[in-house]
Amino acid sequence: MVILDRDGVINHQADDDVTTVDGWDPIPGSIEAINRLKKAGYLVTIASNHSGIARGYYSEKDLQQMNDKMQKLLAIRGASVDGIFYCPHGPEANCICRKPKPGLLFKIAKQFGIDLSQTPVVGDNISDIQAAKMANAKPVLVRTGKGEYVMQHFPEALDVPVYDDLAHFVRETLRRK
Amino acid sequence: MVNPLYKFWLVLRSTVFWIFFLPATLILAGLLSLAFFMPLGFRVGIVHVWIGFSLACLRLFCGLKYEVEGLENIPDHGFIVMSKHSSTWETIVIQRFFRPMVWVVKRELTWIPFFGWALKSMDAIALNRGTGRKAINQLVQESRRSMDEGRILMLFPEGTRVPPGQIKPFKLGGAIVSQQTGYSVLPIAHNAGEYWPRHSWIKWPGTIRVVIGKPIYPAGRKPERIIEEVGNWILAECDRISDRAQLKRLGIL
Repeated sequence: MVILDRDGVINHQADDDVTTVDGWDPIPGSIEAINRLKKAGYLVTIASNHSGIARGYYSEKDLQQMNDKMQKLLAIRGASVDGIFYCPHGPEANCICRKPKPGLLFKIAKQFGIDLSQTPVVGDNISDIQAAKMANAKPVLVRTGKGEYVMQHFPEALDVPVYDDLAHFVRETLRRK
Repeated sequence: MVNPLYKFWLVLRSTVFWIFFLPATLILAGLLSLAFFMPLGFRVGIVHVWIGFSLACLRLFCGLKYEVEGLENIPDHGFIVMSKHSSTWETIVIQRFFRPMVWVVKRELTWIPFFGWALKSMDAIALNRGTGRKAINQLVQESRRSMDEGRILMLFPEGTRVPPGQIKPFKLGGAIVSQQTGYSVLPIAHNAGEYWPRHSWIKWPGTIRVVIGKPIYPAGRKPERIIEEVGNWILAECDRISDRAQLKRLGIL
């Protein structure tokens, strides 16, 4: 299995959250990369923070529409994401699922019966890396989204493998296989 | 929320529909199974009696009608119909626009009593989906032969009924046939799943919209590119014609 963060890994993310289906734009090559992972036999799931829901920036329905857009782009390539897991809470809710806490990753591991220590968690943010480390999974950083910034500002990111983007990560992963 | 009394009324109407539809289907499917040696025109005739009867029952008992746009897009001969699959409805009605056509189905369907035998009698191409490349070769071969004989190939690229609001991957098989044989693809979108949902007793009153798209030519492209164009068109059209009020009644929106 490969676990992906969504914003900044699969789709572009400006400084603000993506709040509408029209604003949801895939990063070139990311959809095809997921397709390649699926064709190679990997399970692919998404673990995302969506505090924008708690803050009222967008609704669960908006989120559903954005995820549908992604699934449609995959469906016409004959693929689909196996599970979409997200945390709708804000930071003050102190939930167990909001990254950097590892709740979402544990939930995925439990539902699919996978071994997290063999599972790459691909993200663009420090919270992705922290969650992956805490869950004893394999953190991976991409330079897209906030990735470039995180690389330069967080010492915790120093020992994490870095790729240009999701397409680059998938290319390397499949080559090594 | 739908008024429970109204819902009960719909259940009643759909029950009357089944009382007429089921025996007629069994009789005509049985007849068709026995008529496997008769000329194609005769067998096609039986199918169309069944389609006409089913539509009349739907209209009369359930208040369910349909309208079509894009009939002018249908080529004269030799093409592959790829339709959205969300309901049992299209397995009946889509045949109406294409004659003589031939189904591509999974092998298991042809084992169902009556219905499956009727499919066989109509020369359906039965795929053993478990066998990978062998199944694809068989599909291409039999499809080419059928279309060369002047029949219209009919398949559901999603492979199964996908309820409104859900998304399933499009399968590549039909696009491979198009690439290998050069026959074009005619895409079809509709919203039948909003009125005759999968596993639902109730058939809702209303008007199903069917859209027949322009033919998509293989043009030397890879099957992946062909199915991408087909899927893109189907999903976008289904969004456009979706009846939001009906989705609310179903509790999906």
